Amino acid sequence: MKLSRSLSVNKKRLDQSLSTSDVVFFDLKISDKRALVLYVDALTDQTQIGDLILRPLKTVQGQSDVESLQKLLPQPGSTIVCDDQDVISKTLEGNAVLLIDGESRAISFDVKKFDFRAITEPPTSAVVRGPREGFTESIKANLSLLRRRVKTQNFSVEKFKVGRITQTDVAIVYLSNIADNGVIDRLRKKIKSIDVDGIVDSSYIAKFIDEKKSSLFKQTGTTEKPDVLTAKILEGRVGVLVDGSPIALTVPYLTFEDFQSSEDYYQNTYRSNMARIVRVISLTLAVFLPSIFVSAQLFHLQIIPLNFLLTIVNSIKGIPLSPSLEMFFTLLIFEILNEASIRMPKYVGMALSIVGALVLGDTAVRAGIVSTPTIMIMALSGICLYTAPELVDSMSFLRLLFLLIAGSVGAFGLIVACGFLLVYLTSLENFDTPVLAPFAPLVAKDLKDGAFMTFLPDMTMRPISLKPKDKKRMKVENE
Amino acid sequence: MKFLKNKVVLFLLLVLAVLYFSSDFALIDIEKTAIIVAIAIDKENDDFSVTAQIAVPQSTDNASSNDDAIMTAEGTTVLEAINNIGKDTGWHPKLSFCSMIFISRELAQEDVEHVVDFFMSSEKVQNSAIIAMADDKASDLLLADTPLDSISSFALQKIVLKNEWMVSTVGVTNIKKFAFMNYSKAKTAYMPVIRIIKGKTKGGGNSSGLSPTAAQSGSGGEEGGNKKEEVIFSASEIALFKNGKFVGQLTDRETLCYYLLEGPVFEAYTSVDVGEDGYFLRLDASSFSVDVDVKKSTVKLSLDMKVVVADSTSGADLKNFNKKADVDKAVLDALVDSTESTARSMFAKLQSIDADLFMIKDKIYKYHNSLYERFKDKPLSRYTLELNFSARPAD
Amino acid sequence: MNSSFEEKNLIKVRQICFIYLAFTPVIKLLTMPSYIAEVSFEGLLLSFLIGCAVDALLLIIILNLSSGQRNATLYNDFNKNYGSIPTKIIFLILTVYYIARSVYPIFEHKLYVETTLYEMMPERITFYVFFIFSTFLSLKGLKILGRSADIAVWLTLVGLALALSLSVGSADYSNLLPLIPRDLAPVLKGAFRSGVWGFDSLYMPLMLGHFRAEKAYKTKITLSFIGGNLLVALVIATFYGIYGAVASGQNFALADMSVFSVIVTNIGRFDFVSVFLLLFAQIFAIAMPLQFATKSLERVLQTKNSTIPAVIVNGLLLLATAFFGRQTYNTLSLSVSVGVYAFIAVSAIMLGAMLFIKRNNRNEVFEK
Repeated sequence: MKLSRSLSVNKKRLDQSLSTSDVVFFDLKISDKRALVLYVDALTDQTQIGDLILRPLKTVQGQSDVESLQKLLPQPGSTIVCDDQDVISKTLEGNAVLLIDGESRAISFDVKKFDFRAITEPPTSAVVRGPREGFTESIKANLSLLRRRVKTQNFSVEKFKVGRITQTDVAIVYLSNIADNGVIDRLRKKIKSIDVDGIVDSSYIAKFIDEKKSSLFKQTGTTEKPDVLTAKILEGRVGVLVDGSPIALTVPYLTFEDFQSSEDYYQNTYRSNMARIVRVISLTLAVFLPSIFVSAQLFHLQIIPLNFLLTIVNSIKGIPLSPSLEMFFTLLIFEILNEASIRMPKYVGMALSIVGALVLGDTAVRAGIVSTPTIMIMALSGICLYTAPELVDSMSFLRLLFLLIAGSVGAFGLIVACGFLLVYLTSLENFDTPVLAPFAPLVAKDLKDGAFMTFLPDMTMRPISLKPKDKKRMKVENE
Repeated sequence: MKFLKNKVVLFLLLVLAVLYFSSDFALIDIEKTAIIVAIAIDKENDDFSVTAQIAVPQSTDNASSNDDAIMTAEGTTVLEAINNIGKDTGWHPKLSFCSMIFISRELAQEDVEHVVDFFMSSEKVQNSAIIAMADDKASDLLLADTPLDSISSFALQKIVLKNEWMVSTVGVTNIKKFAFMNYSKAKTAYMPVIRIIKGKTKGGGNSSGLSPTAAQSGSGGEEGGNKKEEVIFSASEIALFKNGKFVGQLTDRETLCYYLLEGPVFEAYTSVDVGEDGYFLRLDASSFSVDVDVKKSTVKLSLDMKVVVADSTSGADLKNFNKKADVDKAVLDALVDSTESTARSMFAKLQSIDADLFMIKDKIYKYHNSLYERFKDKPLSRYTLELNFSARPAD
Repeated sequence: MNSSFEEKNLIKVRQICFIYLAFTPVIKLLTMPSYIAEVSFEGLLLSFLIGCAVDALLLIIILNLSSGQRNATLYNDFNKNYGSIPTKIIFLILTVYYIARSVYPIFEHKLYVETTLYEMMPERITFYVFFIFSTFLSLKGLKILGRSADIAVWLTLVGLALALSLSVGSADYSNLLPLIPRDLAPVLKGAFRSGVWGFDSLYMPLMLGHFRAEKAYKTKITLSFIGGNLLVALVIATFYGIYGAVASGQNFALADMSVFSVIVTNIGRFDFVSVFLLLFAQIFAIAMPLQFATKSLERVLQTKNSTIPAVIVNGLLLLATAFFGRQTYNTLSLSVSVGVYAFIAVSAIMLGAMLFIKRNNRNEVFEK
């Protein structure tokens, strides 16, 4: 509804709409006219209101129309609003809105003040060598972190408001001369089509832009680090920042991204290659070790070396559970400990470690409830899983699924399950990019940064799997 | 459609969970599984008596006795006897770890072809399992207490299961190799003969492999009141089979000679006498051949040995002997003479039993195929032997 | 329907090459070597190579006959030239062929899995999980098969390399002598027997029009077909080198060939790594004809939805396995006596039909 010329009417209407005690209705007089400054106490900088709005207004003599006042109060973020719905949304965003009696328009001043967390190193992406800055919950701060790194006019930021109630700021960021237009258009369309009451975190957006909603596997990349997002944008990906979330999303997503670490590009290439191989092996062990161990015990004794088999036989003597149930319950206990250790306050964390490792582990073995090899296998699998922390969600579920299959039908079931997984993953695409690229489909040129990475100066091209507009990222000397 | 898909996935997960938690789905209970590591097959009247040695953790512990891990059963076939082991004890006999199979001399004389056939055709026994003939009863080998290992078959493995190319006096044959030779054109196969050597240890000769520790334990065994006498084993001779039947046996020197000719053998030991002095020699026989001249009916055996004197009774300075130029020509000549005479005696033995151990018929078939039909029935006795042996100091 | 089908199923020439390298050769590694050795003895290599040469020739002919219609699928071509009903009949024949083609390999793999992988004979359901996978693969297009081959080819090559490296040391390749036996009748009989696992060239017609022809694509496909079969030939040679006179009874030697290696003796069944890697490729290889049968049946039933054809094809095989799966060797005799002739007949029909179209097209060009 349009604002009325009468301040009383406007105030009454706004008071009804904003019936909340943290909204301040500050009455004042400009020359002889009655005026009202409307703001949310918790979102605005009251010093700025005083210095930039109220103090200059006191000096006003004569002309007190909206245009004159906007000129008088030089504030880059000020806008004129005509609608009471706009007044409400501007107020709730953290602006101060000035309404003047006899004027059907109001002026909104950007005097936002949010308390946000300092820029710290993200706990999930700690590095020994490389930048330690991490995104915060403020989209502005996050954009500033990016802008500081990408100083080109081609760096585009497109902002959206998503969430009927939360009106969350969402920004897509990309390099307009590199990122594929198809991906940008599709992402823009998908974000615009989100019709939900609220967006609380970037993971909400991820779920809406995923191509297969029911998939177990990730279809959007995530990062908490501006250097990583910058590198991804430089490769031709599009980033999504969401206000209130320190996690940025990137599309298109390739599964192998999660085996890559920012540190790979900062440290010695040989060491990076070794680390990548270790990550691949670790994740394979994490997913398959419990299931192979159980199926070997239940169905395929011949694949266990004789001496190890004798050790197993010795250690499982008197254990009341079958190998499959034993592994299942050990896995269950591990998941419980894992879940509890995340949620539990830090000061009881130590106690949890003692209870988990000593009481449950050692005592269970001594009491003959579980065997030592099972505990060892589970511990190894649990540790290995965290070499690729971004994949923990899907891989821990796969581990459980494979364990059930291995315990029911043995190694053949496991092989069939792997075949199933391969077919499923090869058919999984997001933004027309197969998640298993550059391995399936095989993109030979992209393998320079695949399971093995070549030296950074040799990565002359951007990943073709991402369909960048400009494929060349480096000037080659002999060209 | 999507709803149906979800239902199918849910149903499959449910089936999987039921299968998993029901836990009796054709699986193996390790605790009730008899992991058979060796079997000995004897012939008792018309039945087969199978003695199985089982690797149970207690038995691998030194404190327990070898007898704890032995089970015996009889049957009209080998398979029936093995199954009877399970029937009598309640354990599931598992043959996938069976790495040694011993057959008794009596059975060998009768026929081992069908025993080998059974193991060859069974998917559950590895064809790489070593097959050997006991000098007497096969079960005696598994029942013997030996200072070499608390499990007798593990002790036997130490003797028999060596890297083939490094073998000095032990002839190794596995199931596949035996069957392969037995069904070849030559129809001749061999396997080592395992002999039990009781109690004491001897210097050199057959028991040269015994360590001082083992020798001590061996003598210690004799002191125990009820304790069985501890024994050691020898496997330096090979038994010859024609059409699956035992037909003869090579002596240890003949066995070594055969191995040198079928080589390569990079390290073998033998002794020669020159006058009154004895020399213990280390041989490297990497140049060898067995050829057949079909038209001349000649079998030509060639062998070039590189020799190092490892020990001597003449009190000679070994440092000098180890030098290339200083190996006495007389020692080399004596070695060549002794090896040639062993080869002749071996060939004569093979001729007398018509055992084509050098697979001459196969060589004719492969390299002179057009002549095979003409020569396939020609007995070995109608071939003459030609030797070309030489010895030189090692580089 | 056709255009969307083609778009959905675009496969790359490289992926076709990988299919011929990774999938089609691996089903020849189980009972085939011993089965040929039973009649051909040391001539088994020659038998196999003769079978391969015939198959390669067939592939070359198919590729050349198709060169005029690079962008048209077989269905579109047949539909245009013969009309709807004859085309459907030909596709029905193809469906039956692909189903028949998969029968023996599935039975043989079932027995292989049950006897070599499991300590005790597992429950029947153990192998049936394969049909869940094959149905899932059948629902997917050729694109997914191609992408799977992109990954599986490396596993196959590593598996074969590992199996060979563990077994070549135990092989005496002189067992293959004389390479050309004086009596060629057993060799030819062996070559005929190998036909049960042959006729891989007949996968090609259904892939026509689903890939963008690139430079020298015919050569690349043919060479990879030959390369895949040469790898099998190497395994067969090693197999006979190891087993020689007793080769004929060694039905699942793939899982046993490496046990004579010193590495396996010392550290246990390390060779199972290669067995599992190859089995991974093998499940794709035995599911592949079912996928092709499903695609053919889709054409016959004129349906866009693969679900019904996939369920029919895989259900049939599931029932066949349930009822006849344990009589593998009897079924094999039947396959040999009837199957190979039937496969030859289907090849002849396909070639005839394609040749007719080729000639028609040429006449059209002349008339223009």
